[in-house]
Amino acid sequence: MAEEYLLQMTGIHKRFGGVHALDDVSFRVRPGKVMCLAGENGCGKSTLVKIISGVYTKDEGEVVFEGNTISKITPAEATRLGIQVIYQDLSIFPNLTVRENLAINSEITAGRKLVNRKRWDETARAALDKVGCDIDLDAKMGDLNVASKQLVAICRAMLFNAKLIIMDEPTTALTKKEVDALFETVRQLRDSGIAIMFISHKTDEIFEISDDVCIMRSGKNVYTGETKNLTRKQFTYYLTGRDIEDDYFVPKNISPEPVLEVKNLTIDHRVKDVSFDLRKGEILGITGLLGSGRTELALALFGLEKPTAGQIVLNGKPIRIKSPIAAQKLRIGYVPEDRLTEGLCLAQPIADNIALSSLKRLSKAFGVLKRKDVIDEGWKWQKTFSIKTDDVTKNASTLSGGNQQKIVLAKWLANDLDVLILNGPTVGVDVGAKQDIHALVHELANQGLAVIIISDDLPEVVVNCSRVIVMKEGAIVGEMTGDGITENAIAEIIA
Amino acid sequence: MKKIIALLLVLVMAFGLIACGNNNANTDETKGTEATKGDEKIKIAFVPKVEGQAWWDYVGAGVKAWAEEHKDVAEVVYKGPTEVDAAAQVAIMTDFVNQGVDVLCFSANDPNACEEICKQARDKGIIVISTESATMTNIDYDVEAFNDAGLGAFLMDELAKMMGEEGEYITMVGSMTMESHNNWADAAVEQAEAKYPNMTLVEDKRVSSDSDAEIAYNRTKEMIQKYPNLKGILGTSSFDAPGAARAIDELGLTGKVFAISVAMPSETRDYLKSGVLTTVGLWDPAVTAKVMLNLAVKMAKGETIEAGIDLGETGYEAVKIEGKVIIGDGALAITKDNVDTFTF
Amino acid sequence: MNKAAMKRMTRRTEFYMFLVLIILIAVIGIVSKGSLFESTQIVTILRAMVVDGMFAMCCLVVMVSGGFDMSFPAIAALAYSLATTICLNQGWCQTSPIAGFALSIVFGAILGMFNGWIISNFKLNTMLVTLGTQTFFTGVSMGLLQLREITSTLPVALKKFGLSSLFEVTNSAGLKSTMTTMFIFLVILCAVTSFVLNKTMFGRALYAIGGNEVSAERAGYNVKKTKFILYTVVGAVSGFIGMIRVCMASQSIPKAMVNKEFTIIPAVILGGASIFGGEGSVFGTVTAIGIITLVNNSMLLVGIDSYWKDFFNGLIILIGVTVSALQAMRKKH
Repeated sequence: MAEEYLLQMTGIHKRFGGVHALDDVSFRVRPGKVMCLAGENGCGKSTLVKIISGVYTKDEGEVVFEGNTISKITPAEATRLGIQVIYQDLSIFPNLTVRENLAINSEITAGRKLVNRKRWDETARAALDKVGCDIDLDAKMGDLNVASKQLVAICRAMLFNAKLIIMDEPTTALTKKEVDALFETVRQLRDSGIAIMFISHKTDEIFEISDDVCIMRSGKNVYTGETKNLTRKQFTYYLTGRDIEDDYFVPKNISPEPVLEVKNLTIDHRVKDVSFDLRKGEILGITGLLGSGRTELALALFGLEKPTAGQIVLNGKPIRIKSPIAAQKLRIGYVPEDRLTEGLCLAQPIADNIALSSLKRLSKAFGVLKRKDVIDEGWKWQKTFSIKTDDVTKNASTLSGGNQQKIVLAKWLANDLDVLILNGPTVGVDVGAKQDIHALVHELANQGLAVIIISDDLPEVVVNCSRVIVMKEGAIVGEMTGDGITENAIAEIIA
Repeated sequence: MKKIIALLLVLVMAFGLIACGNNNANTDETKGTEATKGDEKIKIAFVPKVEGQAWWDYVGAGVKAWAEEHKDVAEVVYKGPTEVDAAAQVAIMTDFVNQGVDVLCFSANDPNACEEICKQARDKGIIVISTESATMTNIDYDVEAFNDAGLGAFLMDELAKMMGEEGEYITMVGSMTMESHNNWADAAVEQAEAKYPNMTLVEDKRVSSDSDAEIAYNRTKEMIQKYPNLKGILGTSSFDAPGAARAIDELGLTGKVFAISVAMPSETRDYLKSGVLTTVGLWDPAVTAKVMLNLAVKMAKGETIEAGIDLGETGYEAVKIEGKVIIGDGALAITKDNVDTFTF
Repeated sequence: MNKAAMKRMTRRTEFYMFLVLIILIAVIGIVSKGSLFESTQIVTILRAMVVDGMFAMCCLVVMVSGGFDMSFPAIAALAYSLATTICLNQGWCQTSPIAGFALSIVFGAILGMFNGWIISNFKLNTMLVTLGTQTFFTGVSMGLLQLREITSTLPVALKKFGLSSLFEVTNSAGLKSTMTTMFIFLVILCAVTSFVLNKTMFGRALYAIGGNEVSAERAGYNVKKTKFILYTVVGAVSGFIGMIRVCMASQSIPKAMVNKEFTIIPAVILGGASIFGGEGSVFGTVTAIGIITLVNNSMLLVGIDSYWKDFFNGLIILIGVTVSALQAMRKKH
């Protein structure tokens, strides 16, 4: 008997100590459909997944799978029912071959003691066949790209006669092309009758792939239903709890004289003869594909790459930027793409992170630093940027990605700057925080800061920049301003 | 909960270690019966090269016996590093100096490393007596059963007897940096050059046995491979002769290749009896230790030390004094005939 | 052999180690004017490999699982010292060495179990735990039990067993040398280790845990139990190896194993085991041990001063660790 719903969860509650992680969550998964579980970081998505897979036990609520009420789910029970979770880290063994990665789980489940290469081979091939992909079984898992690793993880899940595959933020580390390939696989699985639960916070992806959507916010599900009944605006509203409009940047006072001029800058073969200028009050976008030289150009302006030819002129004076310290002295700031490894000391308090680049200004005679000054500085920026924390002396690691990005920004802005370079300012940040960061950058520019945004996120470039330079193979291939900046115009010349 | 258990475990282990350490000190500390009146007694610290090795265990037993006998006069603590480690030994010596002992007796793993602490000790008025460390300057006296030249010549004379005063030989030391071993080897080579013109040193490099019979065994086989006409192995460390003997025995070269070194009777007894080894050299290290202690008492009492003085043990009735080195006549040749008379 | 397989092979450390070994053999062979290839010298070097090679197997399986065992020499030393002392006091091992071996294996297993229990239950850093237990075991041996050297009084069956041989070879000069029976155990242990690592689910579990412990747990392995068994078995085997060494050297010296880990662990790393776990093979490990034994036992043969031994061994440590770190870095990018 075919049930209308594969999995129904009703009135689920889960508390951790005083925290009500899941508060009356209900949703349904249809077989052969893709259901997106959406929500910003910390909304309870992961907790819910762990209840479905049996890692956590629910406090209250009912779970019905294929029409049968399941009183208690254990990990083994979940596997037996056909529920498979593909975690964000994919649960793979980078040191083993693809064959072993595919076969090992079922071999363990079967309680085998010895290795039978022939059987492993058969199992591995059967797994690949289920998804219809072709990967060298002898290849080492660690040598594959992220997309192939993901395929292997999916194939492995299929071996357990999966009826429901839960994918936890699978697109995080993928390029656009890889995402497309993944979605192709997801559709193929869906069409073969498997239910997919897709966890994400990326609006575009959710609208592209999902049939149903369940949006969670602060432990509650605020919307469940078909994706087609939802507009993007509504979706964002449910996700963040507020209306978010694309707020185009309108420059208010651009200085007549350029603050920064780059003349014929060349770095080996990676940046070729690039010239542009930058004025106070404008936001200049530099875009291009990976390897187009956009990042190298930015690093050269911050003293992390050494130009082989050309000139940089700051406030009318030719300068040489030898190191990041020299750049800071020249009042140039840089916010790296990988905020976690490059820009933040996660194990240090929020306030200390903010004060880091302005220690000189904060310190008294003989370099003595007063703890209170550091904390005051922290609170000042916490208010300016509405960083979500109740205590700036907590470690930076306690913040969500978006708020961490805000700290990195604050760290630079705490020092007065002339030029601020943002490399991929909102990579990995959810919608709400992204909006906050954009608004902040607009405001800074209008206060007279010259901003450069390096990004390959075209909508971001379009919304935020008053002028855009497009790079390709190390050279500038196009420049556009004001209304001339459109996604199509950029896309035409970028590749 | 687990953290607490882990913590407890760590504590238990820490206590275990401390307990072991204490245990060590307790057993080695041979206190007089009325330790409380220690003020009148001479406090002597004896620091061997290492503890837990048969040789030094034997010395330890000798020191203990002496302490028991002289418990009314002196209080002796015997403590050394658990491995042959110059730094660990200096640390132990430093401890004793800081505790304010009256006399510091020791046998240095690395004489140079001990100079500084010995200087400090002497500055504090502590009497410093060493053995097998004749090159040191910051000592009162160094006691030797014989001088390095004497032992080297003794070993060579014995080896030459076995080899019929002719043939190829090599030298083996416990470690490339062990001063005494290298001095003996040098003296032995000089002796051969002077007295045995038909003996040739074929390997001008010293062979190191790392004070391990297994390595002495491997090196012996390697040398026999390299020099097919090899006839003699002049070893120094107490592991050299037993290790070499095992290789000679295994290769069926008994009577063709001969080995000698300073060695413990217990480790060479079988080989001496089966004829693989003919003679090994030795002095009685416990006697030397007792001489050091006797000397310590005499010095603490303010007696004059001069050549010809009787230090109360066989071979040391009338010692020679060369600078700071007191030299006795304590060389022993151990053969199958007398090996059973030794209890160590 | 297809291109992909060829490429995979040339990327493995084992491949290069094997080349190094071949080159070394050739160079030493030439410099020593063929002495190296004399049957007696080959036997000597193979014999010298026995104990280090067997210890390396213990070290390998632990490193594959992502752990570090600093305590195996201390376990071996305590196990055999205790076993020989008991045999001596009880008058055992006069006709058969089995009692000595059995005791040493049991003591080794108990000590290994202690390691395993701490490591699996408290999820502590294996290097720190075993460094602690190493000191603790040495303390027990030296301080608490006051175990002493046993040399000429070693029970006869143990001595006899150590002197027993498989075959005798004669070199060109008519010199005879015998191959110790103990060599069989090296071969057997290597074969068993290879089988366990490659052909059993337990062995694959070690690789899986070394590769990604969380994934191994999710895949259904009982990581805790696997680690406990691993350290117990390693302890038991260490006890066995210790007894082999006692028989070969005809003496039981409680300190003979001190610092052994500092030559074995780098050798295993040199042989392709990763300091981060999940990598390593019996072939590579044996090759690396071969290199070290060959060099240590041929320096005099080719006329290199013994002073250089420490230099060489230090170099091995540096190269081994650097190679491992470089590979890990390459993997990351």
